[in-house]
Amino acid sequence: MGVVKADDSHHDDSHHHELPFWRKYIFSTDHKIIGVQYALASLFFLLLGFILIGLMRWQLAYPGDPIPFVGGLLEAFLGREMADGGVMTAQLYNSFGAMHGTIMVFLAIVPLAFGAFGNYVVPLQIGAPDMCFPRINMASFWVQFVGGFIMVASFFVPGGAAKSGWTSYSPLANIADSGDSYMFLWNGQTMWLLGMVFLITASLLGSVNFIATIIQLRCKGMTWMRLPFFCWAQFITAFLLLLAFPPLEAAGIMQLVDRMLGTSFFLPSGLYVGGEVMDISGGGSPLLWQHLFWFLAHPEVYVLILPAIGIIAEVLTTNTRKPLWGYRLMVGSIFVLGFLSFIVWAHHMYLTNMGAWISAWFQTTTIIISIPSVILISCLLISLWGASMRFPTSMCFATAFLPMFGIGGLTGIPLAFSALDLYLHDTYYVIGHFHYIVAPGTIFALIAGIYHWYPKVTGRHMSEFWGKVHFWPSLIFMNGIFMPMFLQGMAGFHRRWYDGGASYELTDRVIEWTQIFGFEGITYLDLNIVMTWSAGFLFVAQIPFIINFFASIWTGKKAKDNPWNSTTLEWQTPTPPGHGNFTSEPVVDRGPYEYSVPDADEDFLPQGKVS
Amino acid sequence: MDVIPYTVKPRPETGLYNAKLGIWLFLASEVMLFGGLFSAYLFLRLGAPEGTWPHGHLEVLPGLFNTAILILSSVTVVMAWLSVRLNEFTKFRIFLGITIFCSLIFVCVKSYEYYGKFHHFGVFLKQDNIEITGHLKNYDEYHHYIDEKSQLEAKRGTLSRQIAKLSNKIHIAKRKDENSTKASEFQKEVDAKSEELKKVNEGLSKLKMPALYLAPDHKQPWHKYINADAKYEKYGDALLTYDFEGVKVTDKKVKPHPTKITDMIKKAMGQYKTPEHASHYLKIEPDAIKRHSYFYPKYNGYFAIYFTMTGLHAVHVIGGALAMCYFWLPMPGGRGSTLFKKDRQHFANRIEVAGLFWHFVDLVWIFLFPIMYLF
Repeated sequence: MGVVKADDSHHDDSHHHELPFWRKYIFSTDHKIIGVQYALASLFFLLLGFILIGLMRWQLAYPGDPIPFVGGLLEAFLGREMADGGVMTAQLYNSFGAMHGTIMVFLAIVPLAFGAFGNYVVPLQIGAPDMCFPRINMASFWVQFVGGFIMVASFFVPGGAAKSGWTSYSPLANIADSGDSYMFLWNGQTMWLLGMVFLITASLLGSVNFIATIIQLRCKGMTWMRLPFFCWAQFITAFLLLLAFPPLEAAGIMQLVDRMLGTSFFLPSGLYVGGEVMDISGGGSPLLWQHLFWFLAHPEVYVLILPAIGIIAEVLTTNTRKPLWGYRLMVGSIFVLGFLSFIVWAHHMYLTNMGAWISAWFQTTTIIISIPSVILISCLLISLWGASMRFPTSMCFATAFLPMFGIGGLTGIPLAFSALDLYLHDTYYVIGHFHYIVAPGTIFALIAGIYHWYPKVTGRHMSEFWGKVHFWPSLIFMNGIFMPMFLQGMAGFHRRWYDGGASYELTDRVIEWTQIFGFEGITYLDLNIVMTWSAGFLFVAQIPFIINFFASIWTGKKAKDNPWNSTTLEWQTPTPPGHGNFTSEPVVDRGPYEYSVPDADEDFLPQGKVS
Repeated sequence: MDVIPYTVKPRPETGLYNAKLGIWLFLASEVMLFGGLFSAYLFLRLGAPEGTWPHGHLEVLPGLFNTAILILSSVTVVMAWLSVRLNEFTKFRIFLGITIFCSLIFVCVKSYEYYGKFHHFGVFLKQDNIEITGHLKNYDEYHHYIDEKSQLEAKRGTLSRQIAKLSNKIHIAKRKDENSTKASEFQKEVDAKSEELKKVNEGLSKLKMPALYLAPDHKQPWHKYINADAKYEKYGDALLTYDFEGVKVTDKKVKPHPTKITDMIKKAMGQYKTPEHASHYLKIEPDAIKRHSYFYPKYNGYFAIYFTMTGLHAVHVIGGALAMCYFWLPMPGGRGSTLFKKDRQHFANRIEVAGLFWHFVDLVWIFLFPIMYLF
């Protein structure tokens, strides 16, 4: 004894026999299957979140018009209060807005970046047979699944899904979805909180597993400074999830208790609702929710971006045939970034009047955190210098990531200053800023990762032609959606206007745009139409990707074990990797990015030897 | 290569086996979870207007007893681990058994404390938000009122949801055909439900809260609000009235509900006697009351955080105890304590990990006890 088999189910026999289907593909403890499960689930949620915002964008461009194609379905499934005659109501707009944020952050991007890519790639890159705790890994996915199920189910309860924004600010979120027209437990906001408790638990289980795996299971010779940058990024991400999420779990529990047992953690004394003083003990603090929420949600921003930078580092080095420029600097930077991300949270709260000194402190830390971010993006940019690049689809997305992330980052700097933020807060400027980081930023990186590792997972390539057909419109229309937001935001468009500002049409001077380019009769409202059609075309541009993704499983070109001539260990395994990953114990004797080494036979030197 | 290394033996450069690192990481996360709650406690307490944070609601003795019990169990769990290392199976089962038994005692004492709070009553008066706590004498009457009210409210909710659903159906049916027969059928249903809803609303408006008879607690702050020079008046069957809006003080002797743990034990043993302080009770008119409730979490901010934190802690105690029961019970196939014989090193690791968790649970309580019971 003394060792446990990778699937950890049979202690006695050293030869694994065929597991039944449901143990192999559904309740599997193999990190690769779990990674694929995470990927499929989160891609589904990515599409769902996209559809929600697509419907909202229709309402923004054409307020009061029935939604084409699906308006009738919305009315049939969600009720007339939500979509009267196929027209999106304010209720439904709020509900979709809140759920778009929740689904995209907690059910799409984080599980895809961390759960899917991390699970599949990290053990392979460090030369481990599996994750440290395979059964906990399985539990993590299924707890996440339950959380996702609760979130989706909440659309269909009376009154619909949560409507208080993905931030669920109290006291609004405390009193929302309660009263006679809602059920006590099965209402949007309560189900949101229950779902969140499950999602947080899942990420806790995952992050413990990741950190333990990277510390304990690195193969022989895989010293810390030989760790591929992707693993470093996942390592820091796991720490952020481990330490930042629990305070939100505490806050979620408190809001649940507030809603279900009638306490007042987040309700101040003498709160008036509907013209009456609420029958509550009071004495709570709405600001407490914001502090606990943003204590998670700011590190969460780095949870969204760090794995993406990790993926970009892998894809860039492979396709530039050059080592990563400033590897040590980058590792140092993500450590600093991870640490600083815990002390910048209140820059989301400049409008709460928490005090000039506190604002000054958080402005300072926020500006400091831009330093490691700039180092990271600069290193990636310099890595391109003088390279003879290949441009498979993955590399297209990876290079597109750099300027997109740059725009997102630079537009964030004005928001760090409270004086500017007072004006820009809650406008489309903010929406444009963080979407540039997460949508054309992180999502492009994730798609690059999909094209990059797809041959390893399935044994077949995705079509390059359809990949390019996917890439170019995606790049153009992403910018078509988010670039106008900066203009609208600076003009003062508020992010929660459910009619896209149409009710402000009479205040001509607010929305007039003639003074900029000299066009007569064009207003900021017209930008809504540009953005909405861009979103529509972006959706159309994803269709080749979806078809390519599934069809290539059967029709794609067969892939070699190391199709990109890459150095890291995951490419030294059979394709797809079997149970236990490696045919023999890998031994690492060099750094992760030894490309174009002078005097070497080939232009890459694999990091390790697997006999 | 399909075995995971370092499941039992430590990795040389970290000196840790996998599960030990895992539990430390898990505990780091738990620190942040309870840290969030502790900071919420500070936030609420510091944010409360001066002098309004409640004190002395909890009996110190049971809390102190529970603290001692948890510390004892933390010692015995180490002894259990040591016994595994020394290959003494019987001792191991005794020590782990004591630990599990201690957790059981802890949960029992905690339940008794909760029980006491759930039977302790408090009223906030409209006048100056004065708080009066004590024990309800007419709790049957009170519960009858509360039950009826919540039943009617639930009915009101169900009916209004049904009516909303039907009105939507009517609207959609009429959109297709103005004179649709379906719509008129739905309309009939709506009329019937509306009639029912009307009755429910009438019932709710008729429902009157009874006056509350409260055996007040000793050393109540309400004493200081009573004007000593006020005139006494006759009320009902010879009750005294103070100059205190809506509140009458009786001269009748009442038996209050036992709440102190010692009282409850005495009651169980048949030795319970009426304590001195229950020599009178207050009659509080419903019109004078702003808020009224048992000491549930909703009663005030203090009980909200008290129940949330101790409840979450109790969940951890129960979880830890269940894990230790698994290690205590002999189960076939190397599960439970049979692993002791099969792979003692592995089993010792498991007990160590469980012990680390148990120490953490103990540590959380050591912070909870002073902030909830003492300060």
